[in-house]
Amino acid sequence: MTQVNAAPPRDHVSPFLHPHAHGHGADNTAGRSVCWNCEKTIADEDVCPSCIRVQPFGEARNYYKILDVPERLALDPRLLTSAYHEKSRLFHPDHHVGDSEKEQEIALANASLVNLAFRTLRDPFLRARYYVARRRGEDGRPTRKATLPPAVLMEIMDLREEVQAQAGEGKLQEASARVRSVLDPLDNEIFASFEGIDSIKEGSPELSSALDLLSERLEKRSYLQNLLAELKEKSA
Amino acid sequence: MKPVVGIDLGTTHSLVAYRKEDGTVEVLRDREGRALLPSVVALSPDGVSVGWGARELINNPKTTVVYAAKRLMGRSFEETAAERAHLSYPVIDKNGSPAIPDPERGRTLTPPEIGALILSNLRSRAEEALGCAVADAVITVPAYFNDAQRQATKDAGALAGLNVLRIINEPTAAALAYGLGEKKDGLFAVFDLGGGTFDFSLLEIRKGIFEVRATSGDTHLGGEDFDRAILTEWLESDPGLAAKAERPEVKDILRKEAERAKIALSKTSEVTVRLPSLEFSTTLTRARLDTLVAPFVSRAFHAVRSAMQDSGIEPQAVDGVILVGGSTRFLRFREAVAEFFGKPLLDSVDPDLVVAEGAAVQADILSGRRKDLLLLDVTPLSLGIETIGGVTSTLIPRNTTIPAQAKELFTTYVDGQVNVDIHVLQGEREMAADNRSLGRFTLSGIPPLPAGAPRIEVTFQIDANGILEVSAREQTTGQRANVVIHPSYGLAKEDVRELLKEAFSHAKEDFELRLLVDSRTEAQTVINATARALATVGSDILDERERQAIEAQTKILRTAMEGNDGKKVRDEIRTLDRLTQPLAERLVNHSLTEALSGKHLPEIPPEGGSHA
Repeated sequence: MTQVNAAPPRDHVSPFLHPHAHGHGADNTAGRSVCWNCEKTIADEDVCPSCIRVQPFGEARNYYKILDVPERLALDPRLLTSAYHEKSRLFHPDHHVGDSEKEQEIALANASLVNLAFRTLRDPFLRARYYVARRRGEDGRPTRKATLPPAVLMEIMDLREEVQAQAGEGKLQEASARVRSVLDPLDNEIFASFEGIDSIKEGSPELSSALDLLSERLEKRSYLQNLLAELKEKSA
Repeated sequence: MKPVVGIDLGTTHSLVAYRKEDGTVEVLRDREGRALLPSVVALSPDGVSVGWGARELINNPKTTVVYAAKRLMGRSFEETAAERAHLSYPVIDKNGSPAIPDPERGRTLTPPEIGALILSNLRSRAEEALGCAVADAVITVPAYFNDAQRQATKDAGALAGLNVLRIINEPTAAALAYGLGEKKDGLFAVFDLGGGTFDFSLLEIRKGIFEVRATSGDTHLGGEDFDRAILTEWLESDPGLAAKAERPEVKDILRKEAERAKIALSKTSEVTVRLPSLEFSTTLTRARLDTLVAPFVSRAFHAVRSAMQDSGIEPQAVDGVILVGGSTRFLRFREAVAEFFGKPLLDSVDPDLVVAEGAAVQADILSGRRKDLLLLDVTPLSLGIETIGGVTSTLIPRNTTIPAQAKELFTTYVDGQVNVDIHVLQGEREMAADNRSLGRFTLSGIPPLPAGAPRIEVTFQIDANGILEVSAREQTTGQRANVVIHPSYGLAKEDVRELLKEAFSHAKEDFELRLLVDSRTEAQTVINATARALATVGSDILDERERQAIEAQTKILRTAMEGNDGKKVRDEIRTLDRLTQPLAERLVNHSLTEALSGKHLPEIPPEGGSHA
């Protein structure tokens, strides 16, 4: 036996890999299915309206649809949390203890997806990445990384040199504050763009450039975040 | 409906609770009315005993007294080196796992088997208190317990004949016990400092949903560390004492004195310890004790800060702090908690009972009676697999809400590779070797393709108990390989199955038999008490008709005792109880009247005519 470790694949696989997004062909029965229990044809619903058994999430359920919240960038956190709690009450294994094995299986799988969806959509930046990928038609899996314009890259490299010099002199607090002085306005820019992007119509030429700008900002943000994390590691 | 009980299987004490139909939670007590059961098992020539009786045998040279077995639960022999150094009973290496020799019976017992003996005892207690068979239970574990420790606890339950419906985290259970979901919404912290472990959890509670936002802890921090710090101080200050403390029983006395001093210092600012037999006398001030425990306080708050940081929540946003565990009675910690959060401390539920009470609430939820409450807990440690170069690739980060599933694609490293080794890890470190290994398996049958071409999908599924299942399959070809592993801790699935078979074949002490034996004992006590009462009272208190009825029922009870129907014995006891009830009341009234008139009276039998 070849004792070799598994290696990550060559093409970067995003952590937002949708559990349903691969290994399946086009879904021509989108939104409709058959209840596994009473075999009635039903819409893609959480619970079969006739036999009240929980149903596995259909292929068409992305994270937004799993939680039944609008597919928007600007999402009211209270609305999102309420939706999450509602779905948790419905699917959490604790509420299916005495049920059949099949129902428990579905409850476990659905509850796991509900948790994953909430984890992604709760964080505005994870949500933005997921949103960009979806509106580009990538079904949650970004195929290409945003390439930052040379000017932005230069700016980040200069900043890195600056704060590393500060860190070298033991001024870790100042170094972190310097990164924050770039990061905080960037975060605000990202938040401020949410409503505008939500209102752009599908297929409009504006959309593609707005999404490009957003993913560029997200990419820049992750560089800055890494820099902050490095500084934090040094101070620990 | 079958009752589901909640059990707190603690390092020093264990207990069982039940939520009644009326919604109140009751801690089930033993016949002596005690709620706590020492988590102690004594292996002596006369047999195996559990609890208070076992604890008394601690200095008996012929007996192995096993305590704090929870510290060994689900861990390898190697991992437990630090724990074993503090234990006074022998622990051997059995295939890499710790085990306790029981030479009297020619066997060794693993920590889950010790746990099972304690759980069996609690199970009997619950059956006696509830008057019916008990099979389903919720058992609590420290939030920071890893996968193997959870699995070992679940196995202990199975070995005790319990169907463990859920393993839940102790701090989360405590929050449930406070009924916060019913009365009050908000953000609450749980500070759980027990005898040996420290847990911290941050919960957001809204309309009956308890969502754990972050959890952290230290599995080697608790009240026993403070006792040891005091003890070390004494031994270092007095070489003569240190020499005497070589003897385990002397050291044991000193440790108890240290504990007593610590407890006293929560009320007074100075305590004097005098042990004339050891020619030892010293004074300990609260200030000195605070200095001794300072390193532990800072360790605890290191964990607190880490959880706060993970959740992104500021301490000021917390609405209240729940105190759990006997060691939160310790003043220095209360001060430190109040200082850090600046919020009220919640301690109205006895910190020793609160975890079991919360487990009973969760048991009630699982029995389907409470759909209004729901716990959303998290996994305390990150889970991942080892990739090339011995690096950990995390699939599920810590503080992810459970149940959780994660899938990730991996590929081969060399051309034509047909097998991959999947090494499952738990922990926060970057290098695989620094994390805990939960298990390995090999995925074979991969088509021989150039390196990087196969697509191997690894799936992690954590269930609501926080227990992990891993599977892998190769996607590029129609041919699939699928392996499922249950991470183990030395006691393999087969071992557990064997032990279970053994347990069931020896299951003479099933519920019916136990009920019969217990009922007979109880009947004898009642008969004796009744006879004593009848002998002391005259016709002024009891008329002839009543006396005859009581005597007749006593005969019926005696006959029932000779039979094999435990339930019948119990019923006859109840009938006798009803008949002697007026006698008991009159005796009390009579004695009160007599006492008021200053006359000497006959002693009332301690058990009375009626028994509760």
